[in-house]
Amino acid sequence: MSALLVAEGLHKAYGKTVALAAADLAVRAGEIVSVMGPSGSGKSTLLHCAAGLTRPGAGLVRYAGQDLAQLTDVRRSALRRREFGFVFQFGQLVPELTAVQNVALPLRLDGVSRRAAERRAAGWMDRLGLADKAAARPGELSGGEQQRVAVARALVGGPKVIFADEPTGALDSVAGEQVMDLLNDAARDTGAAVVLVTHDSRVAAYADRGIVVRDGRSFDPAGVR
Amino acid sequence: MRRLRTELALGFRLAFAGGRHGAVRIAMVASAVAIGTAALLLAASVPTMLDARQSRSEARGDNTAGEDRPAGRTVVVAAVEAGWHGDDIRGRLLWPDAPGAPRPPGVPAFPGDHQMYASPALQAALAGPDGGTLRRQMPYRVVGTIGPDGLSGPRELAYYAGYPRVRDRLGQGSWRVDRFGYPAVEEIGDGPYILSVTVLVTLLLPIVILLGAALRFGTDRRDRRLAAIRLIGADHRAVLRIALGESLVATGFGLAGGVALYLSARERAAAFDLLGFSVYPADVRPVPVLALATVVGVLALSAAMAVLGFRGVSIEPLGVFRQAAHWRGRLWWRLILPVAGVALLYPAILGLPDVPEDRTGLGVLLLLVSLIPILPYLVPAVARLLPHGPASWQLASEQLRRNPAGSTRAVTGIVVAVAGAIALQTFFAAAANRAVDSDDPGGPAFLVQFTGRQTPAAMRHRSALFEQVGGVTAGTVAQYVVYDPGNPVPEFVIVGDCAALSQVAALSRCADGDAFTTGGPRRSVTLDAGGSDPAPGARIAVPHDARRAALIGPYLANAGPSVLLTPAAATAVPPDVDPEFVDTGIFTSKEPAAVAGQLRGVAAEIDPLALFTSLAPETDFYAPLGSALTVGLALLLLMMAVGLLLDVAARLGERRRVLGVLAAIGARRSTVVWSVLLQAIAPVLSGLALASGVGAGLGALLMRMSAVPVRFDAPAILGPAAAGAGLALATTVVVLLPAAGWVTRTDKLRYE
Repeated sequence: MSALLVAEGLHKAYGKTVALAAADLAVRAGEIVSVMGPSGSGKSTLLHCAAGLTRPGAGLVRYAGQDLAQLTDVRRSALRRREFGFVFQFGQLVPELTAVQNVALPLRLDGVSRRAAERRAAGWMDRLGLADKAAARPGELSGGEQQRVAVARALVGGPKVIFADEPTGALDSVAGEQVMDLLNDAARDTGAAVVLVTHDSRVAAYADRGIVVRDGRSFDPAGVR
Repeated sequence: MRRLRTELALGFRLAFAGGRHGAVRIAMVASAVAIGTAALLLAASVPTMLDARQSRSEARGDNTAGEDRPAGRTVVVAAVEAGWHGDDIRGRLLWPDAPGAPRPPGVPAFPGDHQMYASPALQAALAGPDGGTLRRQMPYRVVGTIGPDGLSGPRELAYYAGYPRVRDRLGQGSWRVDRFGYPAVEEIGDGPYILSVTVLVTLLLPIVILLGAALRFGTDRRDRRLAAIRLIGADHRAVLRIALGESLVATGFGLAGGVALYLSARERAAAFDLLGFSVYPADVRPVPVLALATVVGVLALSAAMAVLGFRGVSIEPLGVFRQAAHWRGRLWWRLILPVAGVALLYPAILGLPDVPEDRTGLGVLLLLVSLIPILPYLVPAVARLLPHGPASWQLASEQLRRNPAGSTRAVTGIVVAVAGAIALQTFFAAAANRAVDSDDPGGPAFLVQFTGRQTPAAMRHRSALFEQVGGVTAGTVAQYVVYDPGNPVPEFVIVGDCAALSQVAALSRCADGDAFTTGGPRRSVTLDAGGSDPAPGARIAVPHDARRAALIGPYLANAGPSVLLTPAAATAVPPDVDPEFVDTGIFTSKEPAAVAGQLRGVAAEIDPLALFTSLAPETDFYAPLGSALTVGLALLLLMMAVGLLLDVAARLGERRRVLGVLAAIGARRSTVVWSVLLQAIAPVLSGLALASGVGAGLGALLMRMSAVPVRFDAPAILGPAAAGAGLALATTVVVLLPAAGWVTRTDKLRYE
């Protein structure tokens, strides 16, 4: 099966500091790929470039055959709404909105009516065990609950790829395991691929395969293209 | 379209969901918009106010411009221009020639003999603590109130009194009208319109600054929120529209609040009176086009400020990126406005005549507005010139040099307001001094002109009546016009006792029977017959022993060679010839304002149609303007204080990370606090120095244009400057001290 998302020969530097030097990544539909490496190795930068959040200095990122560098901001934004989902270490939730409104937000931005968007959002929250937290604001939720809301938000648009950057980094082991179980199950059920950046081997164990990033270079034992 | 609606709606939603911080932001923006909207709506109502006042004034117009009207269904009218505490009183004595004669507007019936209809303000003055003195000017019984359609404004002092004797004075102070509603002789010029435009523009500037500061308040939180929304798929335009929706909520509240504020001010409009100008609440209606322009303009301004707020800020999915300000300190384009201003003012600076008012107004405006681009150039220049100091100054100096626009944006409004205030206060102070200085101590303070012939004894009695008022001396002379059709300069024969004559001419010595000439000896003069056209009348011989004298005082300054006769020397003047005027010159050792009311009462008792003229100001004309300016400046500075407060808070929010990092690497809290404080002080002091220079220059120009001797009053310059400096520093300290702990916290750095 050919890769859904391919990043090849990525270079990225911040001033004189090289974050990525010839890094590659390939993700097939429905698979979970972990990206591991020591702090400062460039794994988050690789995820940001692969998701189109950061423009690489050199190299190519293709998603479903489209070169992300060629897409306008509008198209890349649409991609993030419809095809991608994001879960970060800190939920990146909008503090002013309730949990269900946060989850419904990608749909609302895509023009879905509020009622329909919140109905779908409520479905995902129910599935992730957050039904009773729908009206709570992020500040009223625990760290684990916030991350589950973020997972629900990442899944609500039916993404093809979920980018998760240290999704359990700010959680205790029990909450972290709970979040990963939910993310894993939901991704398997919906057929979404997951790019999982982590330095925790227990989290990486959820992946089908893994790559390692060191000094801005990636090593893919499976050699997927 | 649906997405647009969704994004705007999301902005609305976020505006309401911001918790306490969001509510404060909405309140700030809404307050700024409300103040601005109300001020603009009031300015938009000025033309309507002027029109309403003008049409009511015209409806009661009785000035026939000298045309004679035959008696019929007509009214005989006489004007009594009285005064009270510096305000004019519009008095009319009238008597109908026949039943059914036209009545002036606002008067339900003709008042009977010695009855009057008075305006509410005049009735209040008559009932006031000093009403007895005022009543002497109008000893008529109040039988009714003049309605609003008969008054120019609610605070106008006016009355219509029934006085049958006006029919005996036709052509000598009274005239006949067949209707009311003659057009006003004096049209309202462009002055008030130019003034309202100037006020509008100068008001708009602080409002824009306040609005900008209010919209910047809390943007750091908003930007982080928008970055989170970017992450899940909002593009740049969507983010902009969401921010727009958010700002429109506050603007909407502000517009509603502004309309409420305007309506509230409108209801209280009748209580205000500036230089005799007052309006009824019903007059305060905005011109529809201007009202629409206000609403659209405020919405557009708010939208523009929201969009401009993203200048130099990039909202990206991974966070908010602020582009380091690239300061280009180019001077040339900053000089365009002041050069254009000086060019427009150049003729006025040179003192050339007939300089158009609008040209000068525009020049003043350009000079004031030019301070805005000049200040950001001046501040880094000052920072460069000052010596290196402690770390706090180094930090402040670097920030001032790198981003002077950011450091000065909230101060510019204060600087412009202070410069304008200095210019006007300097001018008012100099004008007030001139009024005191130019009060000729040798001349009379008042002049009362009567018509009709008077015997020397009657003239002495008339003087004595005025001298019953304490601290007053008076002299009465009769003036006869000399017939000399070829001479454009009027010549007079002036008759009075020695005391009275010595008021109008410098006499070395005088006794009854003496005669004097000014401008050379002459044997005889021919008096004018006294008709409407010049005609020769009686010829009288000038006593051969008449001595030379020189006329003095302001009211005969333009008279040609004249003859002065004491009563015993004036026997040649035929008793059946009427003098042109019988003038009583009144001197006082007291403040003119203290005795003016009583003297006006004496004059009215002698003859209600006497023409009473104050040669010395009864009140300081500029005092109410100066007071209004002080109140206006206080309000303006208050508005600025709110703007500055928000701006300092916003700047601290923006620089929180940098300040936190400074604290993290060991900077003392006092160093950080001082760096912020110095960063606020330097622009304020530089700006106020600039404002003082420009303000004093404009003040000097105003003095020159108004023929007031150029003189600088230290309090007029230092007062507004000190108020501006105090305000800016107090505001900064008020924000900074409580926030000192917050901005130097290091535990939040990781989350930034």
